[in-house]
Amino acid sequence: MRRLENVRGETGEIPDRTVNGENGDRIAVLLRNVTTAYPRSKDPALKNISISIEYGSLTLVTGPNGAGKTTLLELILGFLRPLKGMVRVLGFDMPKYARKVRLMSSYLMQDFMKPPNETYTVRQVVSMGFAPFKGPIRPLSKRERERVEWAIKIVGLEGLEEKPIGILSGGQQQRAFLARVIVRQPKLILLDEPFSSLDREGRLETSKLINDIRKRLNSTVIVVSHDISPIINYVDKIIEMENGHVVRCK
Amino acid sequence: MIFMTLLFIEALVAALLAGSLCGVLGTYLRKLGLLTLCFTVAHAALAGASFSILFSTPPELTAFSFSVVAAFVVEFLYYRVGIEREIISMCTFSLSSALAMIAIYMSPSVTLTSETASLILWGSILAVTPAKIMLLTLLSISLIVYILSFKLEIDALLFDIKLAEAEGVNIQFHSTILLLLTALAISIILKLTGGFLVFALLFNPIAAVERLSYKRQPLLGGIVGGISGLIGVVISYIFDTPIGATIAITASFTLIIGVSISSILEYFRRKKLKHLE
Repeated sequence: MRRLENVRGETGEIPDRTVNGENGDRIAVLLRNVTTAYPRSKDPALKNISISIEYGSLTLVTGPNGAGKTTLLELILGFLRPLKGMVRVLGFDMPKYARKVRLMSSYLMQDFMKPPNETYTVRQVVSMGFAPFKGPIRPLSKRERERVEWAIKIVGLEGLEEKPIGILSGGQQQRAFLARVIVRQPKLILLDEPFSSLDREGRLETSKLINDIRKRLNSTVIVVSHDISPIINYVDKIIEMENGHVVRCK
Repeated sequence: MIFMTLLFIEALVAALLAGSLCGVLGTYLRKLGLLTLCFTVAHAALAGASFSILFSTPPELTAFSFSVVAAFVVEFLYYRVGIEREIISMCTFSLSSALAMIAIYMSPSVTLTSETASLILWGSILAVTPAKIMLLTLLSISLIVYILSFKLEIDALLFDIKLAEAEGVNIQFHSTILLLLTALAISIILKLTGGFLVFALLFNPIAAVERLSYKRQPLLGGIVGGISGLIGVVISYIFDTPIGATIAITASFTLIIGVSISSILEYFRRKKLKHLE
């Protein structure tokens, strides 16, 4: 709870963003009749799907294993090319402007767990969120260092900044990655199975945290999860997928 | 006598620089999954050097051109066509080796046992010149400057390459820089260790270090590589063995030593844990 209060209690640190896109668009992610497949695969991974996600919304993508949920995120980030149809993210056609979109997005990967021998500290891992924005010989500015501390505080990892990430528990590692997600203040946040390594209480807490971060940063959030119960109260839209199709969107 | 001493000192300095440079480069290449490609680059350099005998072109420049072309062909096919990097690398490696053999076979009045060809294939202490030492020094400084300049991006790549890519880190840029530096290093070192054995200096130090420590691997890789080079030159001098092969054997021994020490440490760790139970 203290963590959540921290989020709400922050003032002035993070500039508020308009909910709409820069050119007044209301749609952050638009997929129109998209079919895609992994290289050398016989079957399409996504078949003729159409989705629109508004700026500032929280969308839950759910469905069984192999439904195409992670594929959808990979398509949005430009790791996969559409064989057919159109993908537009934050106003940019994908995958042509993939790098531009990635710089404005943050991604929490499904298999984020690091082994015990991973020596990078929590602070280093969170700071890495700034990596693509730093040119040669440009260390983190004072403001960026403050933002790293802010992000670590929000996810409740104060006191663990100098601990190697590998020795942290699954839940703590996940919070460190969430701090890396928010430190970039992204317009688009993609979270792939963020509750997978958490107990019931941790899931509820993380759901609240995700919602508060979304509100605070005015980011568009897409959560992929088998388990819909922890986050169901906060979502604006639920996309159900099965076998590469969108079976329900409400 | 003075000439021999000077030659020996030059060889020691060159081997130290070459070993350290390859040790550091090898660490980054290994972490970024580019080691197989680097193996191909080394053999492409060998093909280039062999063609330099055939066409009487500058060996270092031809070796560098061949290795750069090989690296770019592999990277193009990997990124643009989607063929696995390992598969293209191994195809290019066999092609390069074959081309090297054909070039040497076709060279007028040159056989495998001739001085020029053996210099490229097996390496020689006579290939070390002050100019090469200067080039190796400059290359080492360039590598250090690059690592320090892009520290945060390189750390992000080493930590999780897929995550870094998803966040917008330009992986192709860093792969290209590292491959260019590797191609340059190999082209310069080629005549010291020989085209077939230069890879030993890139791979063995990091393989040994990985067994012993998770921390400061680039630095340790450089130290182990440098020591391998130094000991290799000394042994080669004492027993009058081919320098390239001796350095390669020394580098391989570092791996054996690394595995042995890590096994012994693991044995004592387990023993200590049993006592705690």
